[in-house]
Amino acid sequence: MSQAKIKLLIVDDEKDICNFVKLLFRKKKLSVYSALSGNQAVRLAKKIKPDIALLDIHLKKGMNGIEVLQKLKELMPACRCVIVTWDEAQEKIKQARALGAAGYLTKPLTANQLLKVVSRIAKNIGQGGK
Amino acid sequence: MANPLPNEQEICERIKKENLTIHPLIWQLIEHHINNDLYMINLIIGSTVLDSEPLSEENAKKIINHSQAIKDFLDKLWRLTKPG
Repeated sequence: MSQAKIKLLIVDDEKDICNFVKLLFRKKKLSVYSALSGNQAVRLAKKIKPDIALLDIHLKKGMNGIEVLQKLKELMPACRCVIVTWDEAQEKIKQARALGAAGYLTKPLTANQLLKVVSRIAKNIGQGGK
Repeated sequence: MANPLPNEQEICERIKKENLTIHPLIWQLIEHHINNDLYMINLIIGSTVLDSEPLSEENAKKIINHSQAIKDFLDKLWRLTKPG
């Protein structure tokens, strides 16, 4: 990946996961930010204007991932949001798609899966794709 | 991967036939705890393999902690749900 200016926002209420995913993408030269709650994610997103957001759907406090997705798409429609979930509840996935999610991933993910998905989206942004 | 039990096929068929289900609340706990710990283990090992780096002591300790967390959770679940 050579997307030095791509800004990635990771939203997960597990601190260890945030830290590790951050490290993983920093090695790939992305600007990476993380939030441990939906409210924090929205506040941070307003400030940094991420190009890509990885949103855990099952946030325990405050807004859930779907609500964060909705808010992010309202505030910055160009942000590509990928939902991360541990179930494949079709209703939620449909809802996320309808709100403009670029895709979804199911936990537990491998580092390779994460890198591939984000890399594909970043490449698309680099080529001016929507 | 653990070897399947000698009667695993039989057990699976019985679960299906008798429609034995797990309560959604229990599933919620299982998915939350186990998936997050497995996710971390996958991320640590996956990134180590991708980078062709040796596993650091720090990350090895994290894997042990997450494996232990899975065991602790299963023990807790067993205590909460054991028959009788």
